[in-house]
Amino acid sequence: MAVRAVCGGLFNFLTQNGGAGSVQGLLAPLPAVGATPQYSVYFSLAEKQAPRPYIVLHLVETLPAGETLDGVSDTMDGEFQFDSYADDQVTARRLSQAVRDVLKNLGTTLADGTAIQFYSVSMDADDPYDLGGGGYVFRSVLRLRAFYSEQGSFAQP
Amino acid sequence: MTTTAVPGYGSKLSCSLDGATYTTVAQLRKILPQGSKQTMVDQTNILTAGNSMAPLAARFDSGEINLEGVLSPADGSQLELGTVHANLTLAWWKLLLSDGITVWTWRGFLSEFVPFSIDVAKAMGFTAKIRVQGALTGPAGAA
Repeated sequence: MAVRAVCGGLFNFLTQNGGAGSVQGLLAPLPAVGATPQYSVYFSLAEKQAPRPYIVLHLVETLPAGETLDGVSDTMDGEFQFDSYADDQVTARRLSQAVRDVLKNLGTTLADGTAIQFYSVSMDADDPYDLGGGGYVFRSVLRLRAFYSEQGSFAQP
Repeated sequence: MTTTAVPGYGSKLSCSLDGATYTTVAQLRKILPQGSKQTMVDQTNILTAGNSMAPLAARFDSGEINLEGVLSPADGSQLELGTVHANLTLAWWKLLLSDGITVWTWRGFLSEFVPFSIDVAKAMGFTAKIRVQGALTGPAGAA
């Protein structure tokens, strides 16, 4: 099983899937790889001076959805955080809302094979972030909860 | 001297319709006997020695055993619980503790069955109750 496969799947969904077009339209474009457009989405920490607006994706917590006398489930109950950064609050909020609206009810199989079903918005707030002497970056924080299975299916035979 | 503590993880409850072929109930989280209780009769009378009451144990009732598990909707062993309940079957039950040695057996009806419980933020579950007939039989006999 690939490490952090679900995060890779979400990265792919946000940057490549047509269902996330409203998000991609708000993100700063990066140099394309071949004919594939790239967008500024990062894991855990953005690169220095990342082109804005951008998203940083965190896996906040993830625990098995079920534990029985037979063992621990492959289905996980996880919380994901999407930090949307932009030069102003309005743009950061708009990006965060786009992510929320694309993902909050999403139930699909991601490109990495992870089956995922989002079911809750657990946090949605603005959180200004001090960049340093040159100015500010504004951040909107969004947390979503989802059941997911990196085995590709919730129902095991 | 140390304390012996055995985890519940790995214990298996099985059900049988004929007392010969058992099916292990999948994905149980809890197996909770409510305990056996005696019905006490007061036999105190004017000839009873001393100042205390003189109770007499007349009958015992092994009570109910509560089951709680995580639902696997297509699992045959969980579906069989519903069949045992609907058919009013006096089934055979066998519990193998996680030590792999200790076995408890008894007979009982599946007196209550909740085939699913749904909460948007949790994995689906199920619950059931076994109404025990007679005594549980453990390593030391009837208990």
